[in-house]
Amino acid sequence: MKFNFQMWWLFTRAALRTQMADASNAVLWAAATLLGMLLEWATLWALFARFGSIPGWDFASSSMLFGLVRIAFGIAEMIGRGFDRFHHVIRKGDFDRMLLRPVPVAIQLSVAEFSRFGMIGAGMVAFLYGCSAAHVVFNFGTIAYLVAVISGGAALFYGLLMMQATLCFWTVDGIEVANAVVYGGQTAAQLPLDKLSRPLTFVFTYVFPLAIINWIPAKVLLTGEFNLLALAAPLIGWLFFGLGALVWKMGVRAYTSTGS
Amino acid sequence: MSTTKTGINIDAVSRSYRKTVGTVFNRKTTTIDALRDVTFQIPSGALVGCIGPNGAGKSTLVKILCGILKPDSGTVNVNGREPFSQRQEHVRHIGVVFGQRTQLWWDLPVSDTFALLRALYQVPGHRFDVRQKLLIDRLGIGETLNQRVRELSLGQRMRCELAAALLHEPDVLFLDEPTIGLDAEAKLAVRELLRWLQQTGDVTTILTTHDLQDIEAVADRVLVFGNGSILLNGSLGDLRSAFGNTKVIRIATDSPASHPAAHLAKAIGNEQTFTFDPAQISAADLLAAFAAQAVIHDVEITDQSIDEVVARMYQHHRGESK
Amino acid sequence: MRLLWLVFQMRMKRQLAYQTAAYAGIVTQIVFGLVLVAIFAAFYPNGIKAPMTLPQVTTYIWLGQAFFAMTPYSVFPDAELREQIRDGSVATELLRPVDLHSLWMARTLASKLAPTALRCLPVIVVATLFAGMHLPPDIPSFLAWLLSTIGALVLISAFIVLMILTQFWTVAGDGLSRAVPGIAAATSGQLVPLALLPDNIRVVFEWLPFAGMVDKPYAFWVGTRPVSDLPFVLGHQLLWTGVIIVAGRMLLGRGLRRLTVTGG
Repeated sequence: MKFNFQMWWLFTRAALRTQMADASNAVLWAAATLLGMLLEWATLWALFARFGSIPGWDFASSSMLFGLVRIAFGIAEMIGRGFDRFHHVIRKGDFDRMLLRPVPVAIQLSVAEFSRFGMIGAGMVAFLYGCSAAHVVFNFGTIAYLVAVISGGAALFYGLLMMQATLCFWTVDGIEVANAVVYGGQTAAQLPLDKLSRPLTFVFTYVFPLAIINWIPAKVLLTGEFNLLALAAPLIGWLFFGLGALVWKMGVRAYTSTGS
Repeated sequence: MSTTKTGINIDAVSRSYRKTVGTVFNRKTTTIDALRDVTFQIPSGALVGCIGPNGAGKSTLVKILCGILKPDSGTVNVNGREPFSQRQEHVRHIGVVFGQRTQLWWDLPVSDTFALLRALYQVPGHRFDVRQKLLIDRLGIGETLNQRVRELSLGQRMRCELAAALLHEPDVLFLDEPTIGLDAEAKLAVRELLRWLQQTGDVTTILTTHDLQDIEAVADRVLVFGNGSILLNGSLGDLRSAFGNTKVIRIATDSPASHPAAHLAKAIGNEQTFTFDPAQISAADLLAAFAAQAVIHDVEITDQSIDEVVARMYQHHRGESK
Repeated sequence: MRLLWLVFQMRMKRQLAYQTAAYAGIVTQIVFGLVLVAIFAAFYPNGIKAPMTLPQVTTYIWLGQAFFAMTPYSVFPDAELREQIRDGSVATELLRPVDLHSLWMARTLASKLAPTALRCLPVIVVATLFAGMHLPPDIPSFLAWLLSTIGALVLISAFIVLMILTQFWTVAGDGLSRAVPGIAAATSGQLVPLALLPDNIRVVFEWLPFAGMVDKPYAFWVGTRPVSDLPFVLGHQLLWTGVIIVAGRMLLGRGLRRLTVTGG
């Protein structure tokens, strides 16, 4: 464990050094991402401006959802970018090279990329705006809960990125489907999931538990009422991460024993 | 850490893979036997060249020996380790150079890459310093250390790759086309390093290449692959005698000459080149026969080039497998 | 021209081979269609007045799912081309006696058309039978949709080639490729049908090229746009396609000059 962390830090530091060499690029990229995200947020506003709020849901609470999901995804992307662009790694044959290094490949793929700050930044803006507009009261308990929820959300997306990468062992071109799940999921997550039909609610609660780390915690913040599912939310995110890691491990084994 | 250096032992290794081709409406899956029941031993410290046409199984074998591919059957043992099941431990003790791909960090200066590798393989500081200095001197890369990898010429990069692959004192080294695209000077530098490695005697080296001059220059032994099997396992001399011990005679004369046992390969002006089999007619007899027909100004007798020998061997093999 | 046709065909053939991707794509698109429809349905409690009825919005969303592979959600459907430019190996393409821009257009057209062709019908059939999607109100609307969808395909391909060409400039290109998907999603109608946006914003978005890729053709099918608008829609698409191709050709010229000067 300590060895793995050391190795992770080693790779990250090296990557950081090259990224810092072009710090202006990193800032530009972050700004570009921020711009795109804020525009998406603006369409959400436009929708509410047109229709007014729906029972139990308005622009403020939707902004919280929009922000929360992007903070979580931004963190997952920042660390798990290697998994997200794994199809490139496979296609260029770089995966074999990774296998030749005496460090688990998952560590090598988790090298941090800091240009994702744009997404996290946009998420924070939207989330904080939502909280203040909805008059969310923060105290020690809710802040601690929020931190746990964000970590759980990042873990969930990280698990998803690992599953997406595993898919690349079989079909590099199925990647856009996985992308649709990841990005479509974010779009879906920014609107109230209790308005969905039962089967869909089931999917987003139990199959791909996006609602659990997004909608349910947001509701807790809005109402101040905890329930068992809400408390378990961060844990469920981490369980999903565990599942992703397991799938990944099996994928690597299958690749090396049946692969190319 | 202490592994006994037993060399490479491969016993009855087979490996096949499936390949799918076609569109949605019409697809076929075929099974390709990349390796069929391959057995051989390489003693520790030897340098073995692997040749064979593309798709003959060389790279599958190297992947298996590196531990990144699992054989379907058979046993693989590299200095006491089973590569696939102990991959992470195994790769700590091997060095790999792919001529077509870099294992250096593209955006970093060479020296930073080396420092990273030191940490990655956890080489103790003083030991690393000694080793690094040795390799830098041997390969003459002192001046490239501060350049970014992406700025290096291919020749410089390949020398750095070799250093990078050897920094952690591997007991096995895999080289895949290390001289491809290199200029003459860089090629010689690579070969010289390989000879030096051989003299120090503790790195078992597998060299896959299409450049037979590499093999002539450095290899103790050759493994010739064809269709997933080993066609020949022996010295370069074995290779020559197994596939036509043909010699080449070139004569410069005042008028054309000929002999039924000598095949005219080329004639330019007064210069004629023949190939012949020394088992049929000795060089001396042939020369005497030519001398009887014309005045000989100049003569040269050589072995057929290794490229031609191998090309004939591949042809022969293809004919057989049909 | 023959060569371009050949490139197009080969690319189509290659893309059609990805059947796993196609099946998974269909399933994913159906799931997200259901989600989006449910979300929009939540905004229509009891006869709220809006420029589009719920069945129209539903149909619009399903069109978005059926033709998702054609939307500008991904600016680099052809990763190979992008890599070629980034690592400079595109220089070898210069040795071929072909017009690069046309060649890449042909490739891109195929890599957008093939996955769309594989996926659109199953999604439309399922959505029409089970999920409230409607067919076009009449034959002329359908034809208007078909023509403007072809226009959209060409427009999108031209735009993607332009984006690929920005990759000659590593830094700016990277920035653009991060900003553009968000902008395209918001202004094309992919996120929210443009008709539902506040009027002053909608008017601006309708002029932008992205509206011609998604919103304008869909509106014919849905029936929110009269067929008599067809000439304007095609004109809008054609004009932008022209502008983008001219811009692309300029970028290509400059990019190649840059490549040959720095020596790639």
